[in-house]
Amino acid sequence: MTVTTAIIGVGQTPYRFQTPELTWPELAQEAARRALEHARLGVDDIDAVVLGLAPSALVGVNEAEKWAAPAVGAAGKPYLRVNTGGATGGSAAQAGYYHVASGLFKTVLVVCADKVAESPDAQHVLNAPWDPLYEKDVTLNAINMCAFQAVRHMHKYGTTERQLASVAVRSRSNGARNPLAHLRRPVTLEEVLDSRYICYPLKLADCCPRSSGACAVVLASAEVAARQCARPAWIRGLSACTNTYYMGDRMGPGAELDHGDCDDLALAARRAYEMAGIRDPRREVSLAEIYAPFTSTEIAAVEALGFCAKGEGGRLAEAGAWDMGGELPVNPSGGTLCANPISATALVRVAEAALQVMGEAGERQVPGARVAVATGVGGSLQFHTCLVLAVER
Amino acid sequence: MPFPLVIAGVAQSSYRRSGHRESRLEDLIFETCSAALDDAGLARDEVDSVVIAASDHVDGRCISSMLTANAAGAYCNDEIKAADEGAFALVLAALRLLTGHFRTSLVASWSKPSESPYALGQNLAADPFYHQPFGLNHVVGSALMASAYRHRFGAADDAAARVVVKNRAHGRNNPLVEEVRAVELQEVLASPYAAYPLHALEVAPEADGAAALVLATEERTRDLDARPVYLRGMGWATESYYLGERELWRFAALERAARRAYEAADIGDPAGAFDLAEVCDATAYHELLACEALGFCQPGAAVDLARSGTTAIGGRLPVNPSGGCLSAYPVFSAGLTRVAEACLQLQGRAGARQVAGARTALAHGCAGYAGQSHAVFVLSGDRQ
Repeated sequence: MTVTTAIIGVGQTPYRFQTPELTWPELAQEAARRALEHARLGVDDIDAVVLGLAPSALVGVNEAEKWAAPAVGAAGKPYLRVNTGGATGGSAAQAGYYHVASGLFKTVLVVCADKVAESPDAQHVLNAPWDPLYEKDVTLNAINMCAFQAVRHMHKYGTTERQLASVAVRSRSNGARNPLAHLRRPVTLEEVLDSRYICYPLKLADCCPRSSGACAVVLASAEVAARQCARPAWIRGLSACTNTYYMGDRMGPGAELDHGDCDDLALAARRAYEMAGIRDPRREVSLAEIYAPFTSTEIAAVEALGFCAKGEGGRLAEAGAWDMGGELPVNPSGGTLCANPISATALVRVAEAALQVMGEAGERQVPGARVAVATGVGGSLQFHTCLVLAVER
Repeated sequence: MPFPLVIAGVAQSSYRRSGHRESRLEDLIFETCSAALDDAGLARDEVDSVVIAASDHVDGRCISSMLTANAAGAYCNDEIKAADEGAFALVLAALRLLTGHFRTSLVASWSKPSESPYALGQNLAADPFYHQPFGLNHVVGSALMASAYRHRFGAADDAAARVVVKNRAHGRNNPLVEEVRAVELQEVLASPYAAYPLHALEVAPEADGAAALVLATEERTRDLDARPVYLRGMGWATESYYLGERELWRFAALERAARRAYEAADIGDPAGAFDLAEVCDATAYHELLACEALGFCQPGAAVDLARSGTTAIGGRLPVNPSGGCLSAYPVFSAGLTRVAEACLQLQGRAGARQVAGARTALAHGCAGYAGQSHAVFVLSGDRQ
């Protein structure tokens, strides 16, 4: 039945505003090359390839995975693409896992790449998913959609703008230690609070940048992992959860899952923890890499992952519970607030979690990391992925 | 042996070249997915996986699954979307079930090309620097493939045209396909060129439609009241995007995909193993190349299959008894439609298009210029 599966190689390009010197397939190839090198494998050792690309409108080429097939070593191999919006990287990692855990393949390469700031305006593209008759015209996009979530969290729990700002301060401080991060300059609490509003309550420094970059991981069966890798990152649990598209259906008396919380992520996490045998995530998880494009998203996600009760996330963030050296470090890489190459971002979370349990995270290493959680979020905060990686099989 | 898995429910919308104009996309999806669950005798909350395949540019929205996933029953479920041909939804669903973490998956794909400029969308899928400006799209790519095939094998004008005559005749028996007119060989050859040497009638006409399946583990289906179809093997593969790097006269990726599927299903002689095949005939040449890559005949000999009537209903190996894409082409989801049709045949539910006594069938999906990417499934009414 289930073949035990691990991540044995991670490759990332540096994340930057733009990479005009590389086409999108070349960018994807660079991450693939680095992941193969890390796994000490050649491209011929790979049995199948999964490509993650969210809206291809950001890259500007429809079904661009076909264009990239030879660049990522997929020619002649089983190959498919997934797209779950921002969660694409998490879905791609899970699709790669299915390939290996099914027993049909021994080594699988998962590649994601994006060039967010090489479209005229990412938020124009991210206005295009919404209902053409009712929602597009009110300029709904990824920023104001998440701002709604932030306002609701503040309304329900009294979460403050200062608490949101503390998330940015920690992330940017962590990002300064990550040589791959797009934003590497730390910020102070005052700087965040003084930055201009993009959409209330989110200010410029509460928001992720638009990034170009690529990430790849090599997944392998236990048999190959034992041969290739001294300390693989074992995939111990995974799940995904899809919520309704309509944010209005997540509020009010009939709502089952509240837009202010990440109840959908909580469902995915519960299934992933169960598979991984985790009962008390706050104690058992060493660190989390959370896909949080905005400070407010992280606060709700931390609660959904069971690291604290609902409504406590803001206070604990400000108190430093999730700092490096704190109780449970969150986004030691600097997270999405320091780099957001959308199609790749959720895979970056998986890759960074893997590096942590492999003990190879360099300056951003959490000492003694045993269990790491990686999440992805996409759509109208409606697609959630959750993976649990661990040192032990 | 990881296989077989079981297809426990099948549903299709009708396929309309004139468009499903009275239905919104999400209605089309919802009705088809509901019908698949009904066919399996399951409620929405009795499946633990939803896998969909669709194209943003055909759906007319970026990240279209924001809207469509819930129409496909994904609410609060573990759902994933292949942004790839419909057949790849079945690939991903099968992989999920084979991990042992899932037991029952809804699988769905759809296309509503009546609401999108498909040819433009296919041009915008080309390399933006070199290939978009000279007008490469799916039809031009297929024409280059057809030229290479004709050159390689010295195939005559009528080779592909006969596939059109056959498939449209088949399509007239399929009530799910909007009525298609029978054509004579001369009419196909007299139709204007879509792109030389492809005649307009040799290019599959776009149609709106949706297909959905319920895939389950064998153990799960013990308590389901259905005529099971066994998925005994599958394979998929791609090759280079660059047409210049490929031998355009053959589907090399399909050869690899088929080898993998046949190995899993323990099929030694594909030419004699199947009672019917549903293949992606995006153009008439696609069917010829597919028959050869699938090992139904030697390279270059598919022309004879069409000429001799071997691939017509009543022949030794009927290909596309449903009428295929040449009768109605739900562009991005055609592969899942091929699977659904193969299932109906194996269950004896294919009505006027039924191949008598069908026990084992092959279904095939294809995407990309000149058949870059393929998926193939071996299906059977028998477990082994």
